[in-house]
Amino acid sequence: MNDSLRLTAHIIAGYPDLETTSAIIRGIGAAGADMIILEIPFSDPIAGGPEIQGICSTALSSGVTTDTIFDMVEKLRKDCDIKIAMMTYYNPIFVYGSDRFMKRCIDAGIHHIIVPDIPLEEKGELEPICKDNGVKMISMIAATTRDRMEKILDGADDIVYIMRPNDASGYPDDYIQDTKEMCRIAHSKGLRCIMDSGRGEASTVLSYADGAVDGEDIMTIVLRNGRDCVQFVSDYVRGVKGRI
Amino acid sequence: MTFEDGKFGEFGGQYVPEALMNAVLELQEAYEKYSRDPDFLKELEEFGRKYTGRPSLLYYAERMTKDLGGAKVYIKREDLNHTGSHKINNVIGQCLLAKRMGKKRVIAETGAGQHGVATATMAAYLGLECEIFMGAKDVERQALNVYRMELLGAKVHPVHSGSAVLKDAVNETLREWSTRMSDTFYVIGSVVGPHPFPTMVCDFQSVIGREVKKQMLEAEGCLPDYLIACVGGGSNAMGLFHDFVNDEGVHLVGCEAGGEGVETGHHAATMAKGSTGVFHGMKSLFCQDKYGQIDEVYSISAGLDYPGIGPQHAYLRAIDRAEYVPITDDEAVNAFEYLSRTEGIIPAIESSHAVAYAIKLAPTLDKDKIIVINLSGRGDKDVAAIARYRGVEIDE
Repeated sequence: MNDSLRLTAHIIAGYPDLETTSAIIRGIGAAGADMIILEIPFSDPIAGGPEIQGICSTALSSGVTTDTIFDMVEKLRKDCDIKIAMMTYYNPIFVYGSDRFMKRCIDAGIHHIIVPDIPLEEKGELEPICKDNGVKMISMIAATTRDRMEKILDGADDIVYIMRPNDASGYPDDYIQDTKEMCRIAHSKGLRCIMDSGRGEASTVLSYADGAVDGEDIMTIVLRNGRDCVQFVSDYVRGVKGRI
Repeated sequence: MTFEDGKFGEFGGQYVPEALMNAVLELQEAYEKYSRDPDFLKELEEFGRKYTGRPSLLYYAERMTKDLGGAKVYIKREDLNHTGSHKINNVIGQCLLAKRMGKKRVIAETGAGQHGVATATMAAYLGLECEIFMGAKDVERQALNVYRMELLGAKVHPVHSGSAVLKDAVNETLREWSTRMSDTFYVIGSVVGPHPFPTMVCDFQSVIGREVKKQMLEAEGCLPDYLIACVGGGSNAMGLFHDFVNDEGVHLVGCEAGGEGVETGHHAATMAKGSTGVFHGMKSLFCQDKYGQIDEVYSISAGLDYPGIGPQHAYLRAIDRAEYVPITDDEAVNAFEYLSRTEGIIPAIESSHAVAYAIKLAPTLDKDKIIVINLSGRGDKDVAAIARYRGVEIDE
């Protein structure tokens, strides 16, 4: 499996349906993306905006569940080996059973998870279960993290995800400076950094981060084209890959 | 029941996105400092006395007692507070804290509008900018309270996402907080959310139980046998229970929204039907499906229409210290009318859930037993809705 992180695409599973999600993953993989963040839709995604909530509600009301998503990925694995990080709020993991969830991740060839509502302070209850099963938790860093950064990096395993500020469409200059410093420190600890990007930012963040994460632009294409989005998403990813 | 780390057994915690962690930790640090600061506590007490009208009455409901023919019934009159409910106790505390932290702007969620009105009131008094997030459905159902908040200078944002009710208003307020925290304080309305909110809100509301204890000792020379309060998130109940948790002879009963019946699927009975989960920053009990997706819940009372409950309540039940019972819409409406006619007191539909349980319980107890009902709010806001429930159309 390709171990590069240069281009990561973030999509929400089950929108507009799981069959399309499966086709998007194949298309993105063929277009040259290195990793996919596959988000399990949640009824109340507080870390995302109302648009993400809308996508999640549509997916959930069509009957998409944690089980059907894992089934889809397992099926896909027969001929698609793109690296997948599973993203979900903690409640769907907790209620499913953390150990059972991690086992299903491994069975589906998923070795990383992102849990937006597990900060460093609450990591202790999930991390040992991840480790026992061979799943790595991707630590998150926000524009507001500031003096907790060192502690987060100390506790991080393999990949750190630097998020864009919620209220900005791009990175403010001072945060860009901070993120450069974060990446430098992370690298000195043997960690790799991926950063939110989009709207032409990928090249900039890749000048010092290990990977760019594109979510918003891909989601916009999926929303605009529904079931016909696969070709458009693939073309878009191919374009970004060509530019970086 | 003070837990510095914000964990109550397995419940509580700080399950929030990293973007919110610094705000939560800043609040925790400030609260730890000011909750021990004699000047802050003095100011809080003075506001309670001079602005809210504390202590609130502990009223002996003689007609109700005679009518029910069993235990003596007392009513803690939080409905007589300024702004008409217990919500003001907590809002004063949080807004004074916001001031001390140098915050210029407060944001809050609201369901029925009681917490929003209380927050707008205190913001007006203290000169803070105020924005309230309210489910679009509730904005429509509670037009009078929306106007009231605007009258007090607040900006009300209708929340259209999800099911457009209280839970969605909390989501949106958390989102808003994560985008602007340097000058903004989130005044949460119940004993829910990440630590330190449940502990802090409970502390600010615990004045209710402290007063009840003192007033009851003065009136009867003993502690009550039962304390009854309604629970949505559970702030008025925690406020009443907190000072009695170590008094084991005192039964603590929380009354949750049974809606159309806990077996119908149309209810907000978290204790009866919920399971352990992690949501809105806390580990507690929630109405949810087997995949951890949060349910849309229902109650005639917009203030109890919440799919979770505060972590202290989850803990009190886990250790068998408190008991929780569902009360249906029908029982609550009957109690609403009963208290109005019997004592001349119109209770909030939320508090009517507690009254309904007292009506069932009192006749089963001996005459030397004492029940205290927490009347968390007044019912003026509910009159039109109850009229509609009875098939009478009136304009608000």
